[in-house]
Amino acid sequence: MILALDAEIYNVLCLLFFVILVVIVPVAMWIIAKVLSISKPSPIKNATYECGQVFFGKSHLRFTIHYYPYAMIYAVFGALAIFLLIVAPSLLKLRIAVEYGFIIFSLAILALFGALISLQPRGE
Amino acid sequence: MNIETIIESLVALFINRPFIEMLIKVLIFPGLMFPLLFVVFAVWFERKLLAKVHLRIGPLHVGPGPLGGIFQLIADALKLLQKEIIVPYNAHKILYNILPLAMPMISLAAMAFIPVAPFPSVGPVDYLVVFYTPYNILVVLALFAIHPFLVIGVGWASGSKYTTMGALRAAYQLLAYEVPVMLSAACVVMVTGSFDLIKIVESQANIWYILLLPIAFLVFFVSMMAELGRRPFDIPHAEQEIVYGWATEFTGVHYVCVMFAEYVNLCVASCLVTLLFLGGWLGPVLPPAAWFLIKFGIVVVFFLMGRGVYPRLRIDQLLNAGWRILIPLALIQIFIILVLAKFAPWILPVTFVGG
Repeated sequence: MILALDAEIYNVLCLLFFVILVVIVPVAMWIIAKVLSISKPSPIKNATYECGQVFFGKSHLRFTIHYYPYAMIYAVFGALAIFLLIVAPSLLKLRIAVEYGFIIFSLAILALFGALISLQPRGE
Repeated sequence: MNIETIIESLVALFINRPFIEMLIKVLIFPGLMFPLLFVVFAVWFERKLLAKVHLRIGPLHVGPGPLGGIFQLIADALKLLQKEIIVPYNAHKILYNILPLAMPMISLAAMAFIPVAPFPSVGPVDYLVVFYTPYNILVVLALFAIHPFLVIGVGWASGSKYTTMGALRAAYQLLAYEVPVMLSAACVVMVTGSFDLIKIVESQANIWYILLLPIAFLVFFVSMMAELGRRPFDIPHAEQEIVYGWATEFTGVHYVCVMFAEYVNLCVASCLVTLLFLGGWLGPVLPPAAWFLIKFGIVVVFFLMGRGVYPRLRIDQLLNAGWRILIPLALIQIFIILVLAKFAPWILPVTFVGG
């Protein structure tokens, strides 16, 4: 009995096999741990770790507003980076990109440096 | 139907070329055993290397002769698996139990898309890769990008001040360094003209991209170090400040899974650096897989060395380095590529026809 396999189907079969193994490994570790370990919960043991102090206040901290600009910059640059990565394979195949791309890009870099210098905190 | 026919058909089902190839690919080389053995070896090697840097001896007893301590990790893992699974009262029970298990799954899944060497295959390409797709670099980067969200989720679900603080730090750091990773990968993709890691390696036959695109290599390596949370960038863990950061509450099997995922990520990152910039399996005399492993090992040493020789950055220094230095550097590299394409296209490995 010889299995005549299509290359694409074989490809997907390999991935399926791998994914099943990848799912099994951590789950198996968890099951082994569940079998081997004993469970004796106590109020002190299951309290939140506070370096030996009694837990107080809320566990979920607030964070400072100073990091908010970084979130906005990330939204902009994340989109830019993904766009560049997606168009990257065909960028050098376009004559207009090769002819004029570096001019446009140098303007963009100048604008970026301007933004970075203007964002520089005082006293640095 | 007699017993001989059954045995013959079973032999035909399992002892044939495609099945054995599948076992090799999925179980041994790029598949499961490679990252598992890598984790055992890398932890031992890291301890020994740091001990050499610190003028100590390092792990010594568990294991034979010069490899003293190599089975220490297995002993550690066995010990940790016996530990009680403690779920704190404040934790989100379901997420706290599921997310640490999901971390190694996501990290290991990335290994399926990494080609490691040429190999006559039944599959669509003659390379040793579990699953071939021409967009494999995109898939690997996407799987890498899931990790920060798992970290943030874990830190939030643990319900402790330290884990929340660690998760916030991880959010700043990992998201900030996603952008340079993608930009420097875009440099390589742009020069090659393909998302295919195999084509990226084959196009380095004349010149490795570490020489052609040195700035992109620097940016990619440093931002990968930050993505992995290795020492100069280990702010989300920061033992001296916030206990163990986002993983503070984990005990036993959860801790094993989290650490396992971190080292598998190190494996994937080293594979990516090797394939994108060091010419992958290309090299004279030795077989391709050996070249891949040699280059991979050198990259791993450089990743591990950071822990021995650099102090930890502050969070403002880290964000400055990411946003003010690495991203502009990556953009400058793209600019250099565009200038090269205009004025010296013969330097680039792939010749393009203007369309």
